Amino acid sequence: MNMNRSCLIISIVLMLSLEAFTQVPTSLLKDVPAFKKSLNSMSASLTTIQSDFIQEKKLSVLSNTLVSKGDFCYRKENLIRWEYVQPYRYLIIINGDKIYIKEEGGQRQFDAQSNKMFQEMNRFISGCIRGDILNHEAEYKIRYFEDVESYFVTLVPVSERMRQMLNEIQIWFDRDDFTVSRIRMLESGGDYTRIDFVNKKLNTDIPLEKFNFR
Amino acid sequence: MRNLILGSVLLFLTGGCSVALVDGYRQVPGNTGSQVSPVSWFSADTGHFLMAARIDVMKNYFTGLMVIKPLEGNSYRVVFITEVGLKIMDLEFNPGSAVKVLYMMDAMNRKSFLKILDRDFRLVLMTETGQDSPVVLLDQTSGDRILKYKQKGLRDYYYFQAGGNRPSWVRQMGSLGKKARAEFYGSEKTGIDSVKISHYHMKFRIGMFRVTGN
Repeated sequence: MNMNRSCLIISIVLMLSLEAFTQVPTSLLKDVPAFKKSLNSMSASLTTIQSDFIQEKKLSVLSNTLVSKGDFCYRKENLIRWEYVQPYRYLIIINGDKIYIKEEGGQRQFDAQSNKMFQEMNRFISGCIRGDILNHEAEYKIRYFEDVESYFVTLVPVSERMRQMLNEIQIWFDRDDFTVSRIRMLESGGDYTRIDFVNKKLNTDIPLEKFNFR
Repeated sequence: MRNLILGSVLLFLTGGCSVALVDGYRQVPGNTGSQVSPVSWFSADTGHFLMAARIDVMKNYFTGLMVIKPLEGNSYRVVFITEVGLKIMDLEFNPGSAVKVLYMMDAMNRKSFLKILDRDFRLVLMTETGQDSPVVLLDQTSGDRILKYKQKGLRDYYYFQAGGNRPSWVRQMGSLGKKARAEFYGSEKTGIDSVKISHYHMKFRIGMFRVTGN
């Protein structure tokens, strides 16, 4: 009985591990220049993205995963709005070099240039979403993969300093429209953050007021 | 002679602060009848505490999620991540020894910053209260108590309402007067709700609000 139970547990663990592995395309992308050309073309024609997002944070210190949900908006050139609605309300608007944060108990506006951490985070996140992070070949060792549903790109930071923060960044692009469907940021020690973009709407009219600081 | 005058002034000032702090309270002879077994708000066996946190230090402002996990023997692991999942710091606090830095984002890795964080978190998590027996001060009228602990040239005054064993607030005093203060909001039944830490002589504030549902 105990043997059966052990086998069952091992099987479940193996199935889950396999499931996790199969989510990552492993076939090398044959025509990288064609992919980059299509991505740049999509990026050039893209004016707005509106999407729901589900964010999972895995920390080795915790047995469960932290899950957050919310709405995401992007408007060309440099307007980003993240609105977290679960497990608590939190709004961050990035308007060029200005950052606005609204949370329980107050709101705050400041210059990204004055905060090194926000400055780097802003550049990194917007680069991932627009896909232009792939042009930063001097900063990352980039590898391209594909499967029937997605293009999959891994970026390993070249600098030791950046690698202390993130070991690897993985980006999934939809084959249909070349937009980002998932970002996974892996840290040393196995911690990671996964952001899934779902119900995406491209080039819809997102009013500028959405990015205003109120 | 000059040193004697300076010494007397300092003694008067520091002595004056102590008297003002515990006005109305009398030391319990031999610390008998204390009836307080101090318990940290974060020692409950719930696995971990998830807090929405903001740190306001000098010209910088950091916001995100703070995970506080009680470990064995009055030790704690504290992980601070941004809302978008990037890890800012991962620290371990153990009684009687220096903070163990498991990770600290480069932009924040300053010795002075870490020193203040170390003191603040020890104060709030109550890692040092098991080290020595405290001096017990009692308000005869209300039954409220103050427990005074000494550690590394600092004096920590934990205030307990009559019948309670979790502090309502704590004040840290140095040789030249008040240094920091933390206020705890919550109830014995539902646990901690929020914590506010502030410093008297510098702009360094930490606010944490409990997040449920994760």
